[in-house]
Amino acid sequence: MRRSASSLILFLFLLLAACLPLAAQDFAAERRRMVETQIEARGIGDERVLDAMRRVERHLFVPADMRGRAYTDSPLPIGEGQTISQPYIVALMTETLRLSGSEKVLEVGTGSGYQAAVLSLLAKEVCTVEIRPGLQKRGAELLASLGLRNVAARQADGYDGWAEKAPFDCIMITAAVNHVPPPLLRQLKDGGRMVLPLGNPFAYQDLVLVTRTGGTYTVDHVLGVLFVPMTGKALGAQPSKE
Amino acid sequence: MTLAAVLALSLSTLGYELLLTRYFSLAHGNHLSFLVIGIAMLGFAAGGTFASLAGDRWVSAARRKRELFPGLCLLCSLTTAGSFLLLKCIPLDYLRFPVDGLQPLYLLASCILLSLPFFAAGLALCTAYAMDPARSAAISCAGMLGSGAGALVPLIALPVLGEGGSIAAAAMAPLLVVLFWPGVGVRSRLAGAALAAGLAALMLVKAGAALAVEPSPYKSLPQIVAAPGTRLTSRSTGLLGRVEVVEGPSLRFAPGLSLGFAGSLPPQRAVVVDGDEQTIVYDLEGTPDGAGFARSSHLFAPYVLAGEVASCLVVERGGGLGLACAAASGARLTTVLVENPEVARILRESYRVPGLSVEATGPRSFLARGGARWDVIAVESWGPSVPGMASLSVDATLTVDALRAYWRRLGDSGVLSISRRLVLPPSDSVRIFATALEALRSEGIGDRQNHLAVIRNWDTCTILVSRLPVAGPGLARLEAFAARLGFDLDYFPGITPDKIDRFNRYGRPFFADAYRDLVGDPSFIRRYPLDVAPQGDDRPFPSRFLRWSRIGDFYRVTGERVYLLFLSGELIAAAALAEGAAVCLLLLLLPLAAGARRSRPRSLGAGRPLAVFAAIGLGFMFCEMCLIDSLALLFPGASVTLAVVLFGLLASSAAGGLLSARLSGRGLRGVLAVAALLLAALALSLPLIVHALLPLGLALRVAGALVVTGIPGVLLGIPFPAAMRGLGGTGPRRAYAWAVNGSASVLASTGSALVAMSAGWMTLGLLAAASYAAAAILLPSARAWNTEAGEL
Repeated sequence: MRRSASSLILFLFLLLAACLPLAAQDFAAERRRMVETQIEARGIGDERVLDAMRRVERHLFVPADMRGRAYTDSPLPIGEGQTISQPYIVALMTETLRLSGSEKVLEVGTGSGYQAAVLSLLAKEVCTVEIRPGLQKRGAELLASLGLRNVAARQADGYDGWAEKAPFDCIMITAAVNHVPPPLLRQLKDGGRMVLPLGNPFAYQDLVLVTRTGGTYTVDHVLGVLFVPMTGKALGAQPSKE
Repeated sequence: MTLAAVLALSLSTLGYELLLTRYFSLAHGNHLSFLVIGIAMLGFAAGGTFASLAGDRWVSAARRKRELFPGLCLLCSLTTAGSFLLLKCIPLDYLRFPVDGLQPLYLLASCILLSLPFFAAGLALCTAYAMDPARSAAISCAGMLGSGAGALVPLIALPVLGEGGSIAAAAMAPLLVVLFWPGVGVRSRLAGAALAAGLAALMLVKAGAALAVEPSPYKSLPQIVAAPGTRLTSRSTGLLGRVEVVEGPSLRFAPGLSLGFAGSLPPQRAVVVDGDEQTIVYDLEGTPDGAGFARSSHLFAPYVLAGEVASCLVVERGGGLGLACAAASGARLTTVLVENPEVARILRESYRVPGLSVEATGPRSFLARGGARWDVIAVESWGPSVPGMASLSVDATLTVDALRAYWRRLGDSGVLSISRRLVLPPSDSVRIFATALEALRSEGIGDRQNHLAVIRNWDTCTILVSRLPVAGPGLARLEAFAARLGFDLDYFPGITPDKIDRFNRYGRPFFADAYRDLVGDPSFIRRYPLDVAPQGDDRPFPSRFLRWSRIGDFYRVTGERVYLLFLSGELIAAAALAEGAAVCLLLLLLPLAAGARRSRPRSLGAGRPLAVFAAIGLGFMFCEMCLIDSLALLFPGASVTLAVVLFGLLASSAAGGLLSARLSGRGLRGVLAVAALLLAALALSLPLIVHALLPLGLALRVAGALVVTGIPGVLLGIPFPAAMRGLGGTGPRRAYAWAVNGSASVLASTGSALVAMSAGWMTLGLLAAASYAAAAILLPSARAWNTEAGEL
């Protein structure tokens, strides 16, 4: 009796061990499908961005009970009323910055850390700021555990940017704001680019690219989007409605 | 007893109705507040349906039992307070309709809840008519008098008790009858006392926290106060809205400010009306540069174009930057117009700028008085914070008539500027541009396209209308200003493609293309997917743009986002009309079906008398809505207009009700015919009357409006009680006639929004006249009326 029980446990263990690589392989396949059907098909053509999207394991950045949906074509909740953006939007915002690999990038709104992980493969240095301590801790630990050494993370109100690390070649805001935070404009290098969802945080926004040329800024409208509101000085700690 | 109950119930329900419009304005948006009149009428109609279903037993029981009316008073009080408290618990969220399948159920539950007090009052009124038709005149008089007085409840109660407390006070009115009228039983008195004590406790415990009304989370105020260090420093409530002042280090309001502005903004306070419309008070002594920051906003463009500016008129409809621009311009004389007296007081006390005066008045009334001409007239009007949420709002600040009034008060080289949010697809700014062209055409300006320019940043724009052609040094200054601060000029005379979309770029130059086409292509407005045609004072809905024939195009060009359709007033109004029609059909068919089951299919009467009641219901409500929409130009805020119009119309109808007692059966047709003629004449002459009243002071405008509403009111108060008295027959039949009248009022109140938006309020007046004419035609002869009225 005892022997057969031991055999059963051993069998189950072996079965589990056999399945693990299979599961990992499934995620990799899902990631490839995600890039092909959700990102490339919508016109993202930057090979470096596509490669980064193929490499970063999105399922690691979503709550455990959401992993089965990690590669679906939608944003997902990550707790504290926040979301991990739809894969296409991550790719689009990244492509919009036209990164060459030599840039120092500021990300406002670490959230799950997924966007920072993608940026880390495309830029020289990534500084990411998150206002919610719980999210910041989880995101920073995950990024560190993945060995992404060019990512610096801290907990702060992203409205003020990261003055000690400024100036930045590029800035990305991953939450909705109704105006461009002036401290971030000041921390943008001449020739620098900032991508952000700009508009009413409780309605819909325009994803825009702000480019600095000396003291002049140009604003290019990219796409209509729906982001969760930026909290802190930009808006206040308002619970998300979407 | 019956008359006292009718008076108290009418007072309570009309007060509640008006207070609910305030509640919805604050807690939701105007899309839902417009439903309130329809919900009230639906409750009244349901009372008639119930009484006619209950049949003779109900009426005879009402005659026998003295406690019926006190009981209905108790029910009305209880449901008024209860429906309000429960309404606050329902997670109704209008903007979640497209994504939350439960929201239609929440809306339905809210409508049913809110209709309950009106049901109780409607049941009492129709029972009174059914019991004793000979007293129809007195019942009508009491009902209308109570309703007229109810229109004044918000005026008196809101400043003292706030929104929730005022509703509790309205709920208490019927209890006065229960507690103090002779002959009421002990049990009813005890129940009334307990209810009154409960309501008083609600008002007193924690300063009425249970009754507090909070603004929608989508509005500006909840977002502002959530910012770190922000605090609410004062709050006042009145008929003109709730005014709250917020202070905090994170306040940063400067629409139209250049991204290149490197200075710091002055400390700010926000004065927020109804949780959304915010007027910012800048502490101009808080920074070394004072109002200098305003020179980096495109709202400063009219001063740049005009050059030397000695005097300016600033029309503030939410904002505050317009005032800062005036201060930065160095103008010797600045007059600021703000409709809300409380906001005006705060501005007056906050700014110590030489030559600056703040007047608490609307721009149309101020300009109609004549007087000085101005070098710059700056209209700052950003609209609601969520686009589309004001699509049912009436506002005559930006109509063709308004722009003509501004134009006439500009100096020889003066400039009018209108600052607005940019909306995609281009609509609002395109309509204002078209309105300016139309206003200049009406003023006889041949080369009108040479007098316009448009400047914008990424989300706001300023449309400039210049007395002198936009050319020469003025245009050079404007171009240099735009280039220096990173603004785009979308239009000026002779603009070339290389000067378009330089700093704030969309995929295509949508705005510039639209302005160019408006100037050069006469068919543009007809071809455009949205309704951007200029609006006159008879159709002042600045935020509605939908074209029924192009809904599919609109859906496609806005990215197939269903929720954008929900932001359109027309669709909401159409949905409300369809739902109202379905419910009314049910209310009217139920008693017929019940009669058929009892093999008494015609016991509720023949069609013609009922059609007369329907026509009277339609006519009265069309008239009411026409007066509300047309007289809105005279008053600051929709609530004031509602209170004045309803008081004037209903109180005078009480007199009509009394007069109806003297009317013979033959006279009714004459009254209906005269009413039809009078309403037609009124509809056609209202524009003249309104413009004649416009320059007068507020007290005289109120008096004038009371006369305008009172004259038809007396006449319109006669037909219903006269018809009810002449109807004879059984009690259930009279109750059914009440239900028919109420159902017609539901259709007219919800349909009026659609008619007013598409054809203007004059059409509403003409529809009212047509309804009374139809009633005159349909009215059977006195003998036939009695025959048809009798038990068949």
